[in-house]
Amino acid sequence: MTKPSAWRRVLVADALVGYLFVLPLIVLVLGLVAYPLGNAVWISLTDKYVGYAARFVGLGNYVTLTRDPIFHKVIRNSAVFTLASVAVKVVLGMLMALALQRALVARSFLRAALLVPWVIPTVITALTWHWMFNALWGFINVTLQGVGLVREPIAWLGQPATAMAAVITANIWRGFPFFGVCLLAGMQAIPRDLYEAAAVDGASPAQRFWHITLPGLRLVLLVTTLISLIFTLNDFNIVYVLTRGGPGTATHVLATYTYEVGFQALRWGKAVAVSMYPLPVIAVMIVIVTRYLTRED
Amino acid sequence: MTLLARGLSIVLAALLLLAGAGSPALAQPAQKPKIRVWLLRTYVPDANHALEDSIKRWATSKNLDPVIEYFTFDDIETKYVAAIETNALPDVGQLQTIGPARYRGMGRLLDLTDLANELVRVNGPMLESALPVVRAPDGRFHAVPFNYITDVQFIRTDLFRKAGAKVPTTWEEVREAARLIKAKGVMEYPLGQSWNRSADGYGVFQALLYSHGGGWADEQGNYTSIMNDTWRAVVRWASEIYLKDKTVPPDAMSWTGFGNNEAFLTGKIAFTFNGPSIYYVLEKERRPILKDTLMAIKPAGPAGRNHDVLLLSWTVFSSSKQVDAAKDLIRFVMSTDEAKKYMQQSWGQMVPAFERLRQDPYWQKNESYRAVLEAPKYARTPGWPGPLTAAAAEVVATHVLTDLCARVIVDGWDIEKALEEADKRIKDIYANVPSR
Repeated sequence: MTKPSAWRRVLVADALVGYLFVLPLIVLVLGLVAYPLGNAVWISLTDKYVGYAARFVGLGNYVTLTRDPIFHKVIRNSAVFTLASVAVKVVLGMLMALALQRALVARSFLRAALLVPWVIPTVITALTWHWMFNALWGFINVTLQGVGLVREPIAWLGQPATAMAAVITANIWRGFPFFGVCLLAGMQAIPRDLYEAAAVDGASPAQRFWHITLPGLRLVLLVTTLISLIFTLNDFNIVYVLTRGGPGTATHVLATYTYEVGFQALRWGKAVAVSMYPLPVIAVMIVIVTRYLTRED
Repeated sequence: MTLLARGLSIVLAALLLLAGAGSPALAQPAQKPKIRVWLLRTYVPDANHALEDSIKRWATSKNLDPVIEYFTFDDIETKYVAAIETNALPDVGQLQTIGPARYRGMGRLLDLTDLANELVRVNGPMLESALPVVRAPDGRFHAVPFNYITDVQFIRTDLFRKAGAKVPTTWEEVREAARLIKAKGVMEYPLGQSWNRSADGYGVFQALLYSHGGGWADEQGNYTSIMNDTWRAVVRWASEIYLKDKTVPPDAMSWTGFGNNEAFLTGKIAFTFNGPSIYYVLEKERRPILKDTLMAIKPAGPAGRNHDVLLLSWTVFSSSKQVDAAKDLIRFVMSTDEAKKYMQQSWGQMVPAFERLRQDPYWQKNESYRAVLEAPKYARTPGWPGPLTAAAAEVVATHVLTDLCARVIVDGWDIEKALEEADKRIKDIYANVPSR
């Protein structure tokens, strides 16, 4: 009879020590993730107006947004901006990684040079593109008119389609090195002998890419794409500096609309509801990737 | 001594030094009480320096330590909103036009009626147009006027002369002049007017609207429908300069607040509406086009001259622990001598609201300065002809007015549909702004 209780004492002591070790992590998760998230959910369920106490309105803000034509446009804009940006970033990042892996000369210099867009502060990037896209004195129009390709200046930032293309371009320029670096790291982890064996078997470069490189990069690509989707969906700086969401609401995205509703209209409840809308989509993406990674393990 | 031991010794020594620095024997002399002041960083650095210098001189005489922080036109509301929600408001702050109406309802502003009366005794009466900004409907002042930053027409007289156009005195003449300059081949896109998300957009739209006799509130400040012919005419004017006359630079709708400044300063447009900051650059840098640049009062409409307003004011926040010092600071910077010193460093940008300051010979320098001085007489607050309320402020702050224009110009909506959307937004704002 004494043996089990001795074991129990040891087990209890072990468990206590275990909890003690986990405690800082629990405190961190509760303090830095659960509390802000819970608070945000709570605010989104209230009519919180800056300077006034919050009153519970249930799903009122979410329902209001479903009837808000600007919000509908914001959702469409965010989807176009995010998906188009990330798709092109994946392709350019892959090309960058392949080129860097095969570069025979000045490899370090090229790696550093291609990282420049990613390390420059976003505001500087946006301001530079703003100048380049200017209709009257911007680099692009001046060049196009100079070589006689266009006669009239193109209002890159003044028309809905070209304005969206412009903010996407700036975002791609800034973000593709992130893909390039991650994919390059992934490529270097693929055993060289796989390529050598494939070459001996007569596989073409395209076949080697398709059957060795791409499967080898699957995990890196998935995680990088997910992270980039989340960052791009939440991007504020590039759109705000380049167009302020304009012309009209042509490039208004979730982040700029949240800012406008929260800080200019002072309606925090509604603003937080705007920013909560993509949360289920992001959560689903995280679950998919987590499951995928777990299965791979 | 091992490397580890040496490293630990250095860290220990550093910690001991830090501990010593904090001990009573080495303590610094007692710190002066702080007073926190938030100011607008205007486009005229000389003016910013002059005000900062004035505040520092006052603080030295009172044995206080001034903590001065700046905001810009872009982040003024952001900074205050964050401070309100985190209880981090300063003692004294400058507010833009819509600030007093928004924040007094939240109970964040002290009653400054006595101070306002005192300043009137010292500097003469305030302009009528300042009262709706700083005085609540119940007659109490929660802010006192600092200065107007007036919006005027900037005219390139040489280009106007070349085209045979005259300086516009009505909104219709604005269109005529632009069409003429374009037709004569002087300039393809002479009119720098954006309906963007900055004061250059919603400010000028209000001037256009009020000059046509339009508004979105009645005299009591209640919502009134905008589905009427006045609004239709105004939106037609605003959209046709883009769609029919094609006299505006093609990307003007995406300009930020500095877009028209840049276009005018680089000679890409012949006229625009802006604060005097453009003139400051021309004068300060002695640009060649200065001699061909005229500032003139904005045009009149069928209902007369009723323009937008940018009036900066001073306030003391109710959370301040230094109320007397805060009021004294405002009293000092608004004293006749200090206010004039500041005014003269502003290169015509800062226009006083008090009559005695307005009579200073400084404003008689030339025709442009006289126009800048006169312009605030026609200033009308958001929500005119009603009082400036939190709801009226929100209509402007959420860009309803410029989104209305963008729906027609950018999205190709017809005017009726665009007006219906704007009307619904305004109605919703008036129904939901808290009056707790």
